[in-house]
Amino acid sequence: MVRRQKVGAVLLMLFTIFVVASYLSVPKEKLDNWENGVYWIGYPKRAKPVWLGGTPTVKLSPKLNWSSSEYKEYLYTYGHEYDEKPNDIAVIISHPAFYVIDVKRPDGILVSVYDEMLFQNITLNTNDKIALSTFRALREKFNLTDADLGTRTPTEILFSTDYQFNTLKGTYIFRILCNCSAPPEIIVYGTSYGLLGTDSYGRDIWVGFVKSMVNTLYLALFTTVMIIALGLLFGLISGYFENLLSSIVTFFLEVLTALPILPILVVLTWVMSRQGIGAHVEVNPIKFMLLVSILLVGKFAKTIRIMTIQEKSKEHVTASISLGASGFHVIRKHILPVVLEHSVRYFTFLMPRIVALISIFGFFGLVPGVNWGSFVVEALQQGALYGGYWWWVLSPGFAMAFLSLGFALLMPVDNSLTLS
Amino acid sequence: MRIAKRALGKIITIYLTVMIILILTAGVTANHLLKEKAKDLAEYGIGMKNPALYEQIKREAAKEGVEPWKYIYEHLLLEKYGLAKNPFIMGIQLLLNKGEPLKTQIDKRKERELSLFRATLVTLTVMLSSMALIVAFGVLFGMKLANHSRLLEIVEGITRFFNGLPSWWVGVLLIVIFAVKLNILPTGGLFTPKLLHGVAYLFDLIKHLVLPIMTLFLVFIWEFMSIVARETQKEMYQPYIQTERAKGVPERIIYRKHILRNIGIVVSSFTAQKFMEMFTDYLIIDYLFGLMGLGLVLKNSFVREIIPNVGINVTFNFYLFFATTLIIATISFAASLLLELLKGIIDPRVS
Repeated sequence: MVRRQKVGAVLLMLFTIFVVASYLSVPKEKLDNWENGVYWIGYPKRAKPVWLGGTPTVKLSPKLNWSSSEYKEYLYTYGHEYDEKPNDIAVIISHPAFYVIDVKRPDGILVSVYDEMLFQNITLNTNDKIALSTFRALREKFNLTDADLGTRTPTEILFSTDYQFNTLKGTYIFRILCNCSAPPEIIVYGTSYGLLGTDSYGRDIWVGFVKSMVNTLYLALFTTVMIIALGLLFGLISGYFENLLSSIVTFFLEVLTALPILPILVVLTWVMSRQGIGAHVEVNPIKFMLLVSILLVGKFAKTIRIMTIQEKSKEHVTASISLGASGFHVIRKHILPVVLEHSVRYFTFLMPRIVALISIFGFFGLVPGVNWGSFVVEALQQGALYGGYWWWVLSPGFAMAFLSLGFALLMPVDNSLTLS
Repeated sequence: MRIAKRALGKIITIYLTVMIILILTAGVTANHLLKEKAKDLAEYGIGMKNPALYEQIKREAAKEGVEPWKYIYEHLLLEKYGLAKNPFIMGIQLLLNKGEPLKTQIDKRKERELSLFRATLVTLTVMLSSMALIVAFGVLFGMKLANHSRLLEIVEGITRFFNGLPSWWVGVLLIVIFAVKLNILPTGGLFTPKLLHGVAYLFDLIKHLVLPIMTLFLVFIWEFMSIVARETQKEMYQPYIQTERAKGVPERIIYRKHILRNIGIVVSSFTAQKFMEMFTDYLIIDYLFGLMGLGLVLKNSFVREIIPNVGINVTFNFYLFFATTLIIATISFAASLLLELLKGIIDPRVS
């Protein structure tokens, strides 16, 4: 093994460890709920990754201020020392009750946030009543216009010094009066969350990344194995034998390489699919893999065919045939070892290629499950490219680049055969 | 200089088979779509709006011993559109534009947007200019690389590296760098929404095409370079080249007159092969950069929309599907023909 191959092997090992570790790092509940928008309501929206800085998420601890037989008043203090404002604030309640929520800002202004029955957990940015009451409370002080109601979030207004929306640093005191048995929780969401931030539904992008990575790799691995198996079968048949079947197979391989793959794959995948729950297409992964491998097998099978023809004309093989060896024996003993060696090399070339192709097909949303293609399409639809959320769009590519590099260093592939 | 008759026959047969497969694909898809529609009609459409009619259909279906939706599919939909049940015949009917009512209504604005002529023109322009750049750079630098085996190994490594990268990702990376961060090139589209004439118009167009062409170039150049280098290496130590060297013929002329001509066949086959492979990548690049080429047409040929409160609406526009696939197939066909012709010119022994 040359040093280069060792580096390649180490890279692939690291990648495998990364895949396993990241899969284990995410609880299964989150993975299952990735496509369930409701599940992610309590998370900050459009947060940055933690490693880009930003304010962290803080859970405030309640302090009982005053209580009567029915009502209790809790105080929560929050010191804000960052230049950036928090992303959102959530109030997590234990049961439906009557709540009065207000906030005392560092400059002494008391902003009334909410006073009504509360049936479920709320966040400041997603509740219209809160948006209006915060807006009203600070409208005169800041000279806010109606346009600001639409363009600024309540959290942003709450944490601003003046109409220029600079951040007001200092201690914020949240006061909650309620007829509840247990104190509600207040979570101040920072501008950063998780390893890859969150999207505009509040979904943890890292969860989506891991889910699509596992699915893409699974599909790619089995598709590659199928292509190699089918390619060996077709290549050996069309290369070794000289009968009607082999000429049909040869012709079929020529046709396959001339087909426009993408349009055919898109419509046929849909024909095979079933409408799943929600807006999702359910495609049987086995059928999908078989379709992709048949459409892509042409090139590899042709290479195997040429190798078989070359091997067959070698002296030791013709000698073996003239001694009465059967076709099966010759293929197994003389041709298969050579061809298999090439297949293993080709596998290291094909696997990253198929990962790339599956992410291309995912662009049309018809690949079974979540994959890197659909992951990026979603990012593009949510404006990640022009909104500067580059970590979101580029992360799958970096993973693919790493995988590709590992395979590239591990085993060189002789391309000369694919040309003839 | 003639094309070999056998090769020509083979290419035509392959092209015809490709056509048949495309027709079959369209037929199968349209058939599936009609069946889904029939099921939908049976469950919600007729079943809810006109119960009397539905009862009658049920009776008729029971007489024939089929399920109600199948009856609707066979007697209402197929007969109404005048389509055959056989997917292949249906495909041909669709190709000949028989199922007119099946054709989804493309509104006027969309139709202008999806001009096939312009789509083909854009596709050919982008693909041919990337290919021309790739061939020019590949041959030029590939021949130089043949003498530097260390560098060649690195280029081969890069080839493998790009092989595992999806082309859209390279495009996204270029957009992030040149359009978003540096802001020197447009992110997509073909023109700035401004009226320009003459040179300014052309300049604007070129500026919009730089990133897509660069993406395709970056994805495909490495493999091309290493192939040219490997082929040159094989040729370089042939006895006839040594003889030429011994005669004192300048290297430049040896390269141009002998090596280039001899690697010509391999390089031109490789070019044709890559050109066909490039279509898959181009369709995505086209969609990513919003070039309004065949990628957009393909995207519009099969639309799966999510309509709130109604559900999912699938429209299969076989007119656009045929247009995309047949244009791609025809271009590939033309490329193969051209290749055979070129082979004959480069090496008369072939034909």
